[in-house]
Amino acid sequence: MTAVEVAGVGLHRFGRFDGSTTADLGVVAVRRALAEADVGRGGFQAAFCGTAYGGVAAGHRVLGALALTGPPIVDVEAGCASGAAALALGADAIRGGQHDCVLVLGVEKMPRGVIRSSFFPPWREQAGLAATPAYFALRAQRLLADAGLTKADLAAVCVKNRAHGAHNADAMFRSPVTAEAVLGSRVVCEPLHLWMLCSPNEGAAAVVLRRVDAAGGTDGRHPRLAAATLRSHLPGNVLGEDSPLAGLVDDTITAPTTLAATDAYEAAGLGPADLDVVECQDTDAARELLAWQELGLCEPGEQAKHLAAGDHTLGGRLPVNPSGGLLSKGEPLGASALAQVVELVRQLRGEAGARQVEGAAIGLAHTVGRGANASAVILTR
Amino acid sequence: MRTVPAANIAAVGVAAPTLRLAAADVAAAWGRAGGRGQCAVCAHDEDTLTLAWEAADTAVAAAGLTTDAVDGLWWGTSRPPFAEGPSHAHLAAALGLPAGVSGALTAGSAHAGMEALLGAWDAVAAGTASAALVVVSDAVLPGTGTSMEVAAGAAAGAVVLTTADGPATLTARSTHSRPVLDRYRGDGEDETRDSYDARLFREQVFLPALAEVGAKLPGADGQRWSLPDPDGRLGRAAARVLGTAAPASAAARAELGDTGAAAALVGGAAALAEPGPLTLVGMGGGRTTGVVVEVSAPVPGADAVGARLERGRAAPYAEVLRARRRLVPAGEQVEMAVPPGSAMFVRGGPEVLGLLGGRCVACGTLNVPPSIHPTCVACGADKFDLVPLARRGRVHTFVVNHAMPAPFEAPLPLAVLDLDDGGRVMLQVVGTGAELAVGTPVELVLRRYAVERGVPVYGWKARAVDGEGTG
Repeated sequence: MTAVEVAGVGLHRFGRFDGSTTADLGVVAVRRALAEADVGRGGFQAAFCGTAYGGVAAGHRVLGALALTGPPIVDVEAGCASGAAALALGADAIRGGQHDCVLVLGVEKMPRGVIRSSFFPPWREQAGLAATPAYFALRAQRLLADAGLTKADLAAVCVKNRAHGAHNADAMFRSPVTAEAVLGSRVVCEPLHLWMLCSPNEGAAAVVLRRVDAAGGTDGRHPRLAAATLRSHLPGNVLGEDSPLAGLVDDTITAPTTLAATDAYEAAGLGPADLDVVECQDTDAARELLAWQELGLCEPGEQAKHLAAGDHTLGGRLPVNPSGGLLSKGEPLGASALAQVVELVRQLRGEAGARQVEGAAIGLAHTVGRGANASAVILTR
Repeated sequence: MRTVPAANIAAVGVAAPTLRLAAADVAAAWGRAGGRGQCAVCAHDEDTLTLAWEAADTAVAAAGLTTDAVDGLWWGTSRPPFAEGPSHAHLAAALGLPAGVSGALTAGSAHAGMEALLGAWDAVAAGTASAALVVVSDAVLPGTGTSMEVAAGAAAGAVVLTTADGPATLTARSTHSRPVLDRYRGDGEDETRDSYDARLFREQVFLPALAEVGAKLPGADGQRWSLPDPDGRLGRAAARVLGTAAPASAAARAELGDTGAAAALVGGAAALAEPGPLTLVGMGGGRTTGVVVEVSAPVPGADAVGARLERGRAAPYAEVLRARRRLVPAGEQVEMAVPPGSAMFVRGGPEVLGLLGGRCVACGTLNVPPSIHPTCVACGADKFDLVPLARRGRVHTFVVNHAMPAPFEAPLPLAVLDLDDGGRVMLQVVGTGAELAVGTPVELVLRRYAVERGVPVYGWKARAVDGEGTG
């Protein structure tokens, strides 16, 4: 199969930027990525832009501002996996022989406050059943019961990720927190407190993908994109990310995260035991703990043991979310999946500074969100 | 006075709202001393419809009937949830009665409860209904700071009337009419006025009317009887002046306050457990009606009346004011995305109110809600039988939401439920959710979800039940 490398990455840090438009943020990320890859006008043959709230032709606005239009630009929406969906399309376009070099970007300026999603049938909002954090909390509550976890374990995830994020200049929240402070923040949706939920915010990320055997070649220092997969939920999967009303009373249906990860492991010829570093979806603290088991990082119900052992903390066996995760960075839907890729690239290049995972050679990035959509991306050095 | 053929009571049920307001709390809030007694108040999601449903559902179950056997519904209430609109149809749908159900909604005064009882009696006697459900309910919205605020309560009662032999028989009736202004509410007015002088009416209107009605009521022995008691003194005055026994309705009056259109039946319901004559008296709008019930054997459901009426909790005055929407937060109220008159409501209303699921003809899987599942999630087939879902189940998972915009009340508990028939639904939960856990057994009850653009919107909520008996 044709090999694809990540020739350059760029990021506009995550936060709130009232003076900037969506395109302004995207311009910063794209300029940086193109500069790293040493790609200029005419150097890429297509662009794929992930965004959920960016409006019509968000990618065109970014590339228009850079005077880089002309190639096909495809805007992609896949909820929290929007950026990963764009990445998968770009990689497939290269593997299919259509292009040699593709620009993938993700941009977002999230509305303030609780995410109002047009995904839900309107009558569910009428009935008070559709507010987004309540939905996360329903899943969290069930996980606590199934996995024997407590709110203290959820707080421990926040402590871990915020400690990681303290070393990330691109994160929105860069101060470490204590478990007491997390549990002392106000209850939003029992069992989730405010600090256990990521903050919807703004940002942009960009990735240049290039065929390894293309003209100009590669000097071998760029990480390879070993897999980029996207899956939706199977019918009847109820507490994945789909409407919990849509249910079979059958909790054995494979979750979309597991579907995407299984596809990615197979495509890369790797497994969870091969991973050195993971970036996963921590929309809320419980979501990360669920991802551990859905990605095969641990057996169901063993999260507490791994938390206590520090297995997934920097310096541990398999660091998860060394970037600080969404709990530190916040979540601009279109950009967040690509920002994970940016983090993995930096880790695999050994450029992650104080949060560097020693000897990181294989990394996995995971998103899951509204749709349901789930993605898994594997990078190798 | 002509006699009419008798009708028999097959079963009885009652319902009381969640909140109890102490008169002393109200007095203290207004800087007054004293205040005795209490009254029952609807929680923010209860009203005359939800109370009527609970009483009727209880009565039908006590009668051992299935709802498709009920062919008439008579509902009397001074305050239908829709001043002009589908009140009767909503109650019928929530109860799961056949679409061809006959009957009437009687309203317009606190006498409406007796009018419903008489209407159903006539229909059963005439043979146009074979199993008639009579429901009476009331929930006054009194003016804030008025004496009625601590006197007027809320409750519902229901009986199933049949021509078949029953443990109790309606044997005699008598009505007295006089155009006087007692309880009053004008068109478009929210609050019920108690503009009349209590003592004047007690002495000059109510007691004479009771005497007139009683004199024309064969079998009314003045021993066991019930009546509405607007100021809490009428029952005692009647006993003293007319020489009757103290009314059997005194216990319900003390627990609930004056329940208006529901008072005659709710106050007399417990007495249906003991053989002997019982006289039910209802009043309102200048009319007074007495009905004699000859009880020959304990009426099913009567033994549960006392405990049902006491099912309530003390609520501070501020909570009552919030529940009655007298105390509302400033600022924006979030409108629902779908107006109640929209096509989505017209199409989706029945499945919400009837709590229906789509059972796949091919594989038997329940798809919920059916309108957003045109294709079976299990097998992909597209033929369904619409079926009512089980009203009991267990909590699969839950959340207590503290982040709801107005007009929702926070904390708002939500739960995903695994119903006993295999359906899975997500619903609001009654109360604060403090008693919830994964696996908690629940029953479903009708509640008002919202008043959207002035239109009440109803649906089902889960309520934790004691014990493990969910089969």
